[in-house]
Amino acid sequence: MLEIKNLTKFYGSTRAVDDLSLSVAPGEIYGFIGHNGAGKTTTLRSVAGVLDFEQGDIFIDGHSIRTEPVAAKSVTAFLPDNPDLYDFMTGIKYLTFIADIYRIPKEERYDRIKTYADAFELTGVLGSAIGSYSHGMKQKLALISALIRKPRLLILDEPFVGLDPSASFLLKGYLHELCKSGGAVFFSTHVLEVAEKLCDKIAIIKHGRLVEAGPTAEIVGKSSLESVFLELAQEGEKQ
Amino acid sequence: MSRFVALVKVSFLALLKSFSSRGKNKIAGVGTLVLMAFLCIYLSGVYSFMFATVLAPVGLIDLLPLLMAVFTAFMALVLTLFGGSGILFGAKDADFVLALPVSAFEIMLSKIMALYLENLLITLFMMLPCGVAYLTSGGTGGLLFLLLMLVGSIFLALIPTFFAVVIGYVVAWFSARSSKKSIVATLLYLLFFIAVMLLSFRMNELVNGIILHADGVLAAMNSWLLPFGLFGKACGGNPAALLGFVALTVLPFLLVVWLFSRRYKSILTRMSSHAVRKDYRLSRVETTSQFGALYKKEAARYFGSPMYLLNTGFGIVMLLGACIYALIKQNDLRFFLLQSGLDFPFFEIAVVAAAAMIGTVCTTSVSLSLEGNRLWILKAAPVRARTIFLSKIALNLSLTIPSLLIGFVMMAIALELSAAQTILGFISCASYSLFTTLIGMIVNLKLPKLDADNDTIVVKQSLSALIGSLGGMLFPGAVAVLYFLLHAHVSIMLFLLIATLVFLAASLLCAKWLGGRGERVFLEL
Repeated sequence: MLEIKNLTKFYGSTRAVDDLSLSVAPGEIYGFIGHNGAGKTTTLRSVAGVLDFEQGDIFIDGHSIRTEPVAAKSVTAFLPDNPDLYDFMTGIKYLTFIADIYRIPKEERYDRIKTYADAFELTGVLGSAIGSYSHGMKQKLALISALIRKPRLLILDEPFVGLDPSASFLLKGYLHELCKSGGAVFFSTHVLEVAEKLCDKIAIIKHGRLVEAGPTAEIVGKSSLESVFLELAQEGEKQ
Repeated sequence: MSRFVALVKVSFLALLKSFSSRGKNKIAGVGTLVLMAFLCIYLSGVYSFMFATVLAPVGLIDLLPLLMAVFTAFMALVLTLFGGSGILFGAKDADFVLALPVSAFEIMLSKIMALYLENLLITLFMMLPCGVAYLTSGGTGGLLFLLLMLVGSIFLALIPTFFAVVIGYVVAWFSARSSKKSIVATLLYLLFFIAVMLLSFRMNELVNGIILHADGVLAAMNSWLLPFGLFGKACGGNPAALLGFVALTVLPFLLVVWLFSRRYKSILTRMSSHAVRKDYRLSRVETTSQFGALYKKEAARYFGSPMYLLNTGFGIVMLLGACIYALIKQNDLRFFLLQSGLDFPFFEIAVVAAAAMIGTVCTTSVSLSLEGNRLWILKAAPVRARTIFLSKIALNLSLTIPSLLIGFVMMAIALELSAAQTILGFISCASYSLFTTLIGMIVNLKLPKLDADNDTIVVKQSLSALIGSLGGMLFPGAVAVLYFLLHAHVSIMLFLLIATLVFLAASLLCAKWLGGRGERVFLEL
């Protein structure tokens, strides 16, 4: 579903992501962890086609994000860590805008919006301007706008930060549902417990380089993800 | 005090940052300042030397610093009028700043300092040519005059700041109490803008009859324009006048800041709190094309932001206002044209004026910058960048083309234009608008300002906004000069036809760039 090949991204002379390669298969929830400034967000934004990069390539459902960006983005939904939305629109106008941009069929969009808006308890406020929403409400709206697209690949940057416990629970359920239907999820998180419980595979990034990647069970082994992460981080420091 | 200095420093840094773009376009910040300085020096230079040639021969040269001080304060107010509310109440740091152990008075004063510094730059750039014109036209005082004038300018800049703050506060106070904040703010700013324009007509009448009304002007400088009268005397070396001028500018300014600071927190709270209705019932969901959705988004953004609407739309207001005025006064105009004879270039002037006014309407030069932190939505969308550009271009053209059409129909009636003149006048201005729209898009792509705290910074202070509106306004002047040089060989109709073809060809080149290189530049943002 997602194949990152030798991704390298510079910010000026700083190498933010260094020759990173990994792949996410259909049906997988892939967790991406690393310390602050490790290169997680840069990688996710590059995958989503939001950020240009210098070397390597990224394929989504077989389409290169560089040479076939429209085809690649058509099957993708991306949410940044702090999703700034159009404050001047109402919630429903924003969802309609997204539905139009992603060409969601007319006969399906009502049901899709209703299903997710009801589930996240946001239907009642959809008529109000997004500028009047709380941070959590904006995040829920952004999630709804991603889920109504029924993406083949869902890319999420720190999706659980700011969500209340019931919304987090709901989101986990939807991620599993998406994977059961053949989709894939690639997300970054600082919450190691969530990554350990939710992810089929995990990749750990440090200073822009992939230091560990594979099935969660194999990486964690008999200890916890927290201890593995700290161990790898210390090794990275020594190197 | 040190906390206040720290806050002022932050405001000053924010002002400097507002002039610059991120990354490789840092030169844009310097460019904005240079462009602003050039505009002020050019405008002031033209007016200062024009007044000096009228005043010096009749021994009234001492009126020059007074008149230019009024003109400068007026210009600074026009340039910062729409910024007051945004700078005071639109910044995103309200939560952070209000939590600091600093009084509301200090916070408000530090924010106003940003506005004051902008006015100070305008004032200094405007008054310097005035001093040169004064001294080279027989004015007395030499270098001491120049020095006193510059010292006086430091306080002169407080006058437009005072009015911008009062107007900004009034707009914020009323819009904070309304559920339709944008509409209320737009209407109030329009009202103030019309009042300022009416005042400028009144001043224009005063200046036109300056020699006949010299006594009246001097009387005004001692009554309702007293601060300017004192400024003139202070420049002449009168220490009491200087002290009086300082007192008359500083004290009301501080008083207003203190009074407003008492309600600052409550206004900020009201402005940031919006009622969320929870009774929405989902019914039919509309469907439109990708382009339709992008266009509707652009229109909603445009009409939802008073800053954006007023700063890029005043050219339309001026065009239609002038055409309506021409229609109302058509009998007077016809009488004037009859008296002027057939040689008077009324049609040429009308076309240049229409092009200059419509040239200021350039939403494309700021619309990309206004995406700001929300640019990720468009960049992640499965849409070609050219479709995004097209939606932004379409918005600007849907504002300018109908306005031009209505304007030329009114002009045709008022000035009794022939059908050929009306059609060619309209087509040439429409092709010019197409050209400026596309150029605006390119300029905004090359000089984006994506990290602005609010709309005011993007539409008033970014380099692309200045190039878009000023360039659009000044370029028809250059074309008019070209026609003036060629008019013995080329008729106006043929000249307009050629100009139309040139604008269309240039537009085609711009469109090709946007569809090719422009898409790559968009990806790199």
